[in-house]
Amino acid sequence: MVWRKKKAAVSKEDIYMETQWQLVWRKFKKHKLAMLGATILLILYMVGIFSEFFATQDIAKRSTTAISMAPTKIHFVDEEGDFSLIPFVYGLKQEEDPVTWRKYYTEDTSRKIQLRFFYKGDSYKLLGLIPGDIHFFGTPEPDVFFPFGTDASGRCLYSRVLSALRISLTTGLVGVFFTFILGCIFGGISGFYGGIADTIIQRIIEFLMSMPSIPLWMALAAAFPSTWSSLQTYFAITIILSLIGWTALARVVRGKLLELRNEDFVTAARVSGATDGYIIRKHLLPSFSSYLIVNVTLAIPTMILSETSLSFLGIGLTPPIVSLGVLLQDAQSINTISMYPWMMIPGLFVVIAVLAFNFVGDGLRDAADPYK
Amino acid sequence: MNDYILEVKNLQTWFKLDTGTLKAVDDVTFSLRRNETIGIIGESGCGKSVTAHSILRTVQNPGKVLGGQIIYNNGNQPVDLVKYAPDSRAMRRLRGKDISMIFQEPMASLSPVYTIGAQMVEAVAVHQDKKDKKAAKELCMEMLNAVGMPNPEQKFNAYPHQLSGGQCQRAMIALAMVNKPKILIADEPTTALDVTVQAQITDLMKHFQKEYHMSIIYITHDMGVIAEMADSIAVMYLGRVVEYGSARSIFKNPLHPYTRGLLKSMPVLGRKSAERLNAIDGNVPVPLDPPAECGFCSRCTERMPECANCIPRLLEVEPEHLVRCFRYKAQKGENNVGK
Amino acid sequence: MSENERNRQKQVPLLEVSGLKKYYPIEAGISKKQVGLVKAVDDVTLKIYKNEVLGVVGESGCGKTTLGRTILRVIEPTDGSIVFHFGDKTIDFTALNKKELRGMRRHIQMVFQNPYTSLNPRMTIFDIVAEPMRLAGEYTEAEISDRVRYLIDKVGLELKHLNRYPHAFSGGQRQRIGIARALALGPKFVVADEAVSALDVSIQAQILNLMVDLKEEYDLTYMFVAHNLSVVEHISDRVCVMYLGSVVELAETEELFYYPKHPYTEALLSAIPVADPTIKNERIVMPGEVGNAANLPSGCCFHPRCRYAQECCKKERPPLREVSPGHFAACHFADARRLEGIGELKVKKA
Repeated sequence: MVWRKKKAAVSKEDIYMETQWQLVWRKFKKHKLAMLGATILLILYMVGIFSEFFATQDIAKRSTTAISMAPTKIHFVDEEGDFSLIPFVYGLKQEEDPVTWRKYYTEDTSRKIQLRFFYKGDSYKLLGLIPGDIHFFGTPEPDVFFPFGTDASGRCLYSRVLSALRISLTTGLVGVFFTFILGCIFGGISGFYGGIADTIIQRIIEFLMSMPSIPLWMALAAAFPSTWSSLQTYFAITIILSLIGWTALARVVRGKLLELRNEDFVTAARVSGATDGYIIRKHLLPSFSSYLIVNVTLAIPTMILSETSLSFLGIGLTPPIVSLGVLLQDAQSINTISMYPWMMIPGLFVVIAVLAFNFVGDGLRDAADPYK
Repeated sequence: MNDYILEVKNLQTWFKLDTGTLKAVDDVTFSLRRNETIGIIGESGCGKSVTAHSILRTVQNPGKVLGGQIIYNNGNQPVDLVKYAPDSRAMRRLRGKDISMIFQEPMASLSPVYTIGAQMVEAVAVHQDKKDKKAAKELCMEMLNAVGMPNPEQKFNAYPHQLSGGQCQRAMIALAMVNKPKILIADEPTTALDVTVQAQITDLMKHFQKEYHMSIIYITHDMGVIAEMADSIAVMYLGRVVEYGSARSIFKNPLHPYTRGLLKSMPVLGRKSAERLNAIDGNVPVPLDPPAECGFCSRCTERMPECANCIPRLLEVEPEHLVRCFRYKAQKGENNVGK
Repeated sequence: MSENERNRQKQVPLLEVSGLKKYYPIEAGISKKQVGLVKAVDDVTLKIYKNEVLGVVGESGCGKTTLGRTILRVIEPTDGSIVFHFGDKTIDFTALNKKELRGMRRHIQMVFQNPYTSLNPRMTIFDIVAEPMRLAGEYTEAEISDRVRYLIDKVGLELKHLNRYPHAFSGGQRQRIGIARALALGPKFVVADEAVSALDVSIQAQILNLMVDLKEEYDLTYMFVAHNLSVVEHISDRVCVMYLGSVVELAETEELFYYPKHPYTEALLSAIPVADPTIKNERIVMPGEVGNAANLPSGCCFHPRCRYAQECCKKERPPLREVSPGHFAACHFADARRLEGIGELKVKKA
């Protein structure tokens, strides 16, 4: 009831006094898919950042008894039909196909293992700083629980996916950040001052846009010193790629500025004695910041996808770093996909993350200009 | 035969929005005689354009014609256009053939990717079943000549952006006239044009009216243009016709306080006045969930207590001069309270 | 010579514009080779006196808006001079550098045509009106607050709406806000660029009245650019008619409307519709369309459309000259021919 009253209290006068961002938020909230996307992203990032806590075990730990094991089934009802509120798993025993000699695992219904929440497991350092050993849910040693199964080395795919989320969802941001800065500066100069500067920048953009990025990436991957870790190399390449990748954003900024530069309210500020810096700061930036955010939001999934595809091809991140692309490298052969289909699960997360970003970007785009 | 080619009675077109119901047109009544021009005058947001689109049944979603009658009488059997579905065959047949429309922004209402000629030939082909391209083209050229288009041969193959504003409006008129409609709806056709071009366009429309015995619905906010063009005038305010009568009676003897205010508030040529204009106070309201009161009562200087309580009815106060105001008492025991 | 004219001639004008030109080059190809010139404002010379309203009329593309903006140096002039006389101070506006220009901005302000684009939707009404004072940088926040409240009240808006954003207001109210902003620094000269064109008739009258009141109260001088001749006639003391970038006629309002000396003015006047069905409008039809500012006709710009054009009009460009005291016209036959004003053009029907 309290909530309803609050809602009714939003009068016209309140809307009249709302700032741009309040209006954008009001409109964004109405976009159901965007809100769904935003929720998913929030969950993915939380899980990614605190992956050690949410994981069931250490990502490097190998279980020799569980090689390429299928995802463990979670049960609520046991053989006898008794219902238990706390989910449980059965113990597993290895069997062998007498014809193909292929090993597989079956449930040992005699051993019922309840899942535990906030149990003590492998020790870790959260964010590389805070030591801990409490895990969100799973089974303590020596019982095994692999929600997404294991890979060919017997490592828990679930724990590895969570860890990969952190790398995949954040490395792209570095690239987007540099793209953003460069795009704003060059697009800004080009659009605000025009003339010769504009012409030169536009020609540079055209040149950069014609550069093929994958061959460039391959060349760069080979050019960096081999002493660098794979993560260092990756960041170096990302930064260089954003040096040529800012062009699309710069064009957006330029177009928007050209449009805004001649707005009457900008002329009014000029007639009142405003300097160029003041006009950019007070009038232009606030006017197109919402468009920038939309653009950046829509640029992140591209970065995630390029990380995934480059790592998949083996020229991006390489093991021991765990990213979604690196994990998908294990699912390269048709043989793996047919025999161990759970190895494709990292791909599912790529799809979910990219879709979520696109939904959010879509919602932001609709809400970006609340004055239309 | 009935005198009137079009009778609009109690027309209602509402837009259901998230924020409420926008009663863009709420009780509009007027009649159009053959070979005459009715002027619909009003300020922005009074519903004059929505009225035009309601007649053609081209109101955009979420707007809907919810009530009233639009009786079109082309001499045979009078039909009520409200009863037709907006995209029915019968309606499409009427549109552009019997009833045509020209718009304020000629540039925006002509397709930028087809030549003027192609668009005209298409209009002919749709309605006259003229498979003969050559005959259709001849007809179009004749029309371009008739609207006074300079270099019609060349303009036939020109794209809208290659024409000036005035030429575009001429092309638009040629397009609207090519099927010789019975009724031409002109929605602010000269608002975007300069005064000299405006004069040419209004002259052109008058000429066509004489030549093709056409009736015109002329929508504008410009009192000067309407005085020149219209035989009768409907003054609209907040979705309703508040006064309706012959042009002469509206200008010489305005009855509604709004009409009087409007006439007094505009500068009159040749009456160079050091004195102030008599502005109407307040702002034009938006008819979003309007209260049941006379829409003008908040700005009216002759307000009476009942004005804020109920909506007045459009009453015939003098012969052929109707007004919607409580200041004028109903005759013969009629009630002057509307719904 | 009218009383007003005699008084005027004794005065030092507030603003003297002489030989003002604004040309835009037409460039083509990658090398940006100049292939032509659009003469938006072509050699305009005029004076504006203190506390008067100079109406500037003409059809779209005649350069009236560019003229207003060039005088304010929002658009940099190609050539010519703009000189202001504030009291005994004489300021050559064209010679100021960027910094000096910013300092001078307080004296000259602008009111815009479109009330929807002239206010930043992301600023509150308070911030919009306070902006010029904050930019001037010599007022305390308390002074600014007092002044904003005073101005908002002056232009007829409610003080409780100060924290609202522009989207909460109608067109007429927004125009009031725009006027309050223009008055914030106490200007002496205001260019009103089609300030009432986008407004409804009933609102237009409110704004016109407001502008007249403010002019009297603050000793303002207006340059009122508009295309609506009735509005210009109402508000202006003198009227300047422009055609294709140049001034073709300039005179006191009544003189110009009743005794025009240029055929273009005559044709323009004849085209104004009169809000009276009993008046018969004698319309003069001008052949053709407004010429192209990138390719001006030879001689007198108006000759292709002029019903009186002679051979000499095609060859020689008539200068703007004083035909009678205070009445300037750019026509070879300005004194020879008697043209019809609104007195003859708008005749009562029998």
